Amino acid sequence: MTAESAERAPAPRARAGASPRDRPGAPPGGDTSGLGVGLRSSHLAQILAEWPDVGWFEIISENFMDSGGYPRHALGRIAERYPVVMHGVSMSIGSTDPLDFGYLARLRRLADSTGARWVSDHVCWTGVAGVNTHELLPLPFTERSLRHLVRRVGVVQDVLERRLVLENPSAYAAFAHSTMPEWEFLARLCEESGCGLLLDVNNVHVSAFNNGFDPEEYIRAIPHDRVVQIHVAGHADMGDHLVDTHDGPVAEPVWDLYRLATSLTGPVPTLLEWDDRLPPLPDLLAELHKARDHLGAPGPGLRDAGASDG
Amino acid sequence: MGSATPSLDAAQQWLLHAVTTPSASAEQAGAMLAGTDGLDAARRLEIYRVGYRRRLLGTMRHMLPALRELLGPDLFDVFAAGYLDAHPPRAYTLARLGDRFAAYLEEQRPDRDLPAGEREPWADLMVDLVRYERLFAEVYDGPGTEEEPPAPWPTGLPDRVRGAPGVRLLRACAPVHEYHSAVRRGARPAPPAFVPSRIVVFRRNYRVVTASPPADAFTLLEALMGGAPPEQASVRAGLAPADARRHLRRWLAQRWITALPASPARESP
Repeated sequence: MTAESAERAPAPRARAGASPRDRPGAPPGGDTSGLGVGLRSSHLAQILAEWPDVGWFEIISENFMDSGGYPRHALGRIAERYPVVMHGVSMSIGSTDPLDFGYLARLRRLADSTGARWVSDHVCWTGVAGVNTHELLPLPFTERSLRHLVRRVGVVQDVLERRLVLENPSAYAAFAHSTMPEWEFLARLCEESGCGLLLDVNNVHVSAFNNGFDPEEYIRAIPHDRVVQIHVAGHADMGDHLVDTHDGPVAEPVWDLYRLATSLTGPVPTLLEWDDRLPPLPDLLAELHKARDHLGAPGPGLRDAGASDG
Repeated sequence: MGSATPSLDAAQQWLLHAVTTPSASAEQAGAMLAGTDGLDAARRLEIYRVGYRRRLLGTMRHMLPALRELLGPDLFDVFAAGYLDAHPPRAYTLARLGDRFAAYLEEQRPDRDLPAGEREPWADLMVDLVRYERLFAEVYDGPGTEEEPPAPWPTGLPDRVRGAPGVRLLRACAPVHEYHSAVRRGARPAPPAFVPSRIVVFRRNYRVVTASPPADAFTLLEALMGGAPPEQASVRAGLAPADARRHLRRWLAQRWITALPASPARESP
């Protein structure tokens, strides 16, 4: 037999607190209050070696649902020490295709095995006719869409046996026949389906720029008691539009929206999304910890908070 | 689509087609999407089109670094884009985006109807490289045996075996595994020589490992993993029983194959 050669390589991946709770040697558990980061393959070995000061980790569900290799092994060890939440990109809750029950069964198995604190996805659809574009495509915000989503969220919550949490995606277009603003659609979806809300303040900023609405009005109008988690992230300015790129630091206007949001919701588990051009882990955590400086005080919101900042 | 409000399904069918089909007209965008002075509906549709293509092409480049090195980035993108147009993704995970790429390349080769000996070897190399890169990813992220206790050295030999999880075999027209390994190390290797290669891809301690057994041993392993009983497999490989038993013991110990329970003895009628 010839000599063997060995390699370790990451598989292709989807992209996607303030006080550490679980430290090395601590029993499994802890809570997800405070600040978390996305678990990315390039950081796995370092996390296992150093057990960094992070409140919790968010995983991209699809990256681990079928994994039996090193990433899944690493996740198992990390989930013994840190709280984990799951964030998916392929549920396609808004699609008119049938729900994929095989996918949901795998999602549930992963949630059970990692002790995931909650399972989230997006208010969007990713394909029809069996195609999955892997793009978070916009929905028409109509009564018909709302009925469709409320029914499907109910089915998913029954299968998962836990509340589903849904995120506002970034949008580059809106359907002309929409009959209500996105924030009203989200509020009614939460109310009628019982789902939670993952408020991505960067996506609010990006969509507001692209679709010409007031981001503060959006944040004031959503149901604050339904916000389970907040995302912050970087975006790119393309001149005539913004793109949710997750490849850089959080922009100041997004931190302003974060301050407004947390002044209305109270402290909410907050996650920094950073997928492309990922910095070293210490730099990532330094960016995450900026959220502490932008936490809103309970009160009427940004304009007043901004005034008091003086 | 008329002026009536489209159904949700009709709206989604339209946008899917408009985003995924390069030749699709943007004409309806103005009726379906709300435009603004700074960003009209056609431009908004284009943002989704570009995003869709960029994400999928980026994933193909990431999944197939050795083929990209072999072809060069521009030619690689031509093949990858053609594949994505012919086979839009259907799986919920991007890890399966390239599942049909090797078959697509086979279908596209202009010499596909010629006898095997008259075909262009470069096309064989492309296909085998894609097959290897897919196997590598499957083994890396698939099920393995790391969490199981070490296998004891077998004292007796089973009469039935099967391939262990995380072990794959490939016959290739060239040592594509060596080329792939060099590319992953950041080298710019010369294209591999056309030397028929027998490759076992497996995993140890979460690392992908390759081996190249001699021809008779490889044939034995192929037969065993295909479900042949050891006795039949050794005949197929042309191996003496003692040599076949030696291979079997080693492969059981290193978990390339696992023993199956003995078949229940047939009772006489």
